[in-house]
Amino acid sequence: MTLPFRRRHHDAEGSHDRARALWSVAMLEPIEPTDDEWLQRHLDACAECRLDHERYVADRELLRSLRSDLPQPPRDLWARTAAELERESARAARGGLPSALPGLPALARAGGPFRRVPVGAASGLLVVLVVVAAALVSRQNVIPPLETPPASEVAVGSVEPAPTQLLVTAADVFWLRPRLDGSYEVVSAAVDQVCPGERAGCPELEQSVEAPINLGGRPIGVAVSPTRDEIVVVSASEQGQSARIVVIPVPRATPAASPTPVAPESPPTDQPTEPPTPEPTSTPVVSPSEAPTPIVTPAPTEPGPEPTPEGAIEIASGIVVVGDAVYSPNGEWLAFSAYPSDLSTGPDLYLWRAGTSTAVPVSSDHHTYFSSWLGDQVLASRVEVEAPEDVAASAEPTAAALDEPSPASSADPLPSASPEPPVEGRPMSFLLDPETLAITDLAEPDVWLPVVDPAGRLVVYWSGSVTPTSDGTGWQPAVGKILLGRWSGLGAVPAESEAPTAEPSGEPVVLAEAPIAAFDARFDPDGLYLGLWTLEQTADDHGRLQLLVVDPESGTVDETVQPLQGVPALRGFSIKEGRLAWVTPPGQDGRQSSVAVLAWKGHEFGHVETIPAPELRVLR
Amino acid sequence: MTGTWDRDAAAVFVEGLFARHHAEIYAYLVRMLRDPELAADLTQDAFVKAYRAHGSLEKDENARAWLYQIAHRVALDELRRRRIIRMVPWTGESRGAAPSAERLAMDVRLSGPLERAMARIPERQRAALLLAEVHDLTGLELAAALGVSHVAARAILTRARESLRRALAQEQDAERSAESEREREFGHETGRGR
Repeated sequence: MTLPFRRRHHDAEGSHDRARALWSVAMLEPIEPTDDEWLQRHLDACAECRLDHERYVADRELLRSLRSDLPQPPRDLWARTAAELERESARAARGGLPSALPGLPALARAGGPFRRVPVGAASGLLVVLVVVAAALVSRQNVIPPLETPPASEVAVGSVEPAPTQLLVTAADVFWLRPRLDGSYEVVSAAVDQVCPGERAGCPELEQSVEAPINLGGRPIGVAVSPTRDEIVVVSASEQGQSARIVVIPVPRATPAASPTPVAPESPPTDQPTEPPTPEPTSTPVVSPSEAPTPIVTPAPTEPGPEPTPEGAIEIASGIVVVGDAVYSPNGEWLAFSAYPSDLSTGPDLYLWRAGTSTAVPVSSDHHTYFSSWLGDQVLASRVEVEAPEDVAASAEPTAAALDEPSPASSADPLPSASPEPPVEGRPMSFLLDPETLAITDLAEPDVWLPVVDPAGRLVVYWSGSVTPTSDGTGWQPAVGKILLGRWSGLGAVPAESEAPTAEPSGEPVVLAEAPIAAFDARFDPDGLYLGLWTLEQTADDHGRLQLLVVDPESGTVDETVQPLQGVPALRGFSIKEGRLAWVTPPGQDGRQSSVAVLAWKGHEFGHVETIPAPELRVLR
Repeated sequence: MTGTWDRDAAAVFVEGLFARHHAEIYAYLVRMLRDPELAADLTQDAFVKAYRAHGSLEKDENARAWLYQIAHRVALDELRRRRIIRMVPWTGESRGAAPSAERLAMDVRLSGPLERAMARIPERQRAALLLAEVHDLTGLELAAALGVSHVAARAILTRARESLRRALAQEQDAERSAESEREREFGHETGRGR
């Protein structure tokens, strides 16, 4: 991924991005004369851009050379297709398909365009015709003949009462569902048809069971590796909120859903039971120059460990995870933030390298939060505590602050532990290379939990102050707003660079304003759609989810398209190619939760839902 | 579906559609999936879906882009299905024990740097490049085929060109390294032979 702070020319990088976008579009279709003039001027002034442009033109010519070498289809393709069409027709006649799929009388017409098919194909077609004729004769023998109405009546009369469907190209949806025996199963659904507008009367999402899996406890957070060969489960014990994180290999998929619960798993494997550690912050501090090394994780304070599923690795325990544990795009790392279950400190940033045995805390200031991945780097935020009586004592944020508690935080590690807790904190955010632990601070202050689109152009973040949560375990937005802006505008500059020279790239767009207790923002893979979940009050049992259509070129939200405006949703949604999936809160119309999907094709949108069930959890 | 469904019209329509476009749809699917046998199956599947969805086609003049949209969706579905299948241990060739002659011929055909680079870029970007540059779809047709807005289609294509540029550069670097390695080995062997 090209990071926006990588500067190549004297000119602002945004202008190079624009030039590249313009010449790309110009290769497709005519561009505006003003854009064309700007592009020419830019190319005249930038030698490297001209070279870049020539490379793109050469790439295009290379691609176009494929036109002269098109693979030839097999000669019997029409015969095979016709046969399949006839089978479709036969299935429709048996009721296997909607009644709007009648037979195909025209396919076998002698006057059709495929009379000149090759001999091999013709023989195949002849077989098909014989089969079809036999089927028709057979059908006439068992099914009373129906009067065939005119075509228009067929269309009207055969339409089922269900809403008309919108065909979409959307990524599959995966979610977890509890089984009767206490294990869970991974369920998936292909989303290729949805109901535009009203959801009422829309058929439920068809689903298939991928794999029953023993998660070893009730999951409160789940992450699937990009390679889909393992699942990371954050689970809570029965006794309290003490959590552990286990990595579970994905079991074999089952060919079909089994209505019967699976047999109980084999006895739990022995767990390493560290003696209770009252002070989990005694873990070694990892300096940026050191590679993370395994440490003893804080031992659980709850009595007795949960059984661990077979083949699973427990990578952390005795902690409470804040937010989500998220894999890096290449699947090599997992990042999350967590605080000890004894509430002795606030949250720190943890990293786990796939294949190792333990997650490692890489911060020790107890005010550091994982936010998101940007390519192979972690985007994280930390809070500079400002006690009301000693605001001036707060340290200036520096790269080294990650591993050295600030004077304010060491004096007053947790808001809950202080007789006069600080009422406000100043957030700041930074990039962290998990390999080297090198830190790149964002120049823009008061940026909390930024999330950058996959192309590295736009960023969503809380801009403002943060305040201690009501239980004193962490921080939440206080005064400010959620903004959509240019990632380059936040001034993420490598340490060796000069002062940030972020280009002026327009004012950020306000997406939401306080009161906001929590939020979760994610872009689709193309950076064109943005899912934004917000929670007004910590005590609320669900938040509101909206989908925004963004223009990566201008950095604005298309307000003419409002496909989803603040629907009730539990925390943890998934946005992928062409669809947004979330879990509806229970109690909506007296129903249990269901997995709801909003899918789109361009600016056409439609909904589909699963059958309601308890404890559903959408996988990202 | 947004329109009415007329079975006779759909049958005539799908015949004509097949006559005009089956070769290019097949070629598109071959390059998306790199498997000629699977591409043939999915070409067939695309035309069956076109038959079923005929009522959703609003204007006949959009039929080509609409058909590409169906083929594109079929291809993505297959690619996603493969990803899901990767969740279980791979036990062997799912489509026969030995590759066919067509498959071997296609492997040779697809073994150049361009094809390898194309195989490395994200599927939707690969589709955008193929549709725009090999199959000559216009911007609006590209948007329809990808199932996105016109602006989004242009953004995807821009990103696709960037990805291809990077992938080709990597291929060229790898070829240069391999060439240097070969030259070193050749020199070493020549020296040993003296």
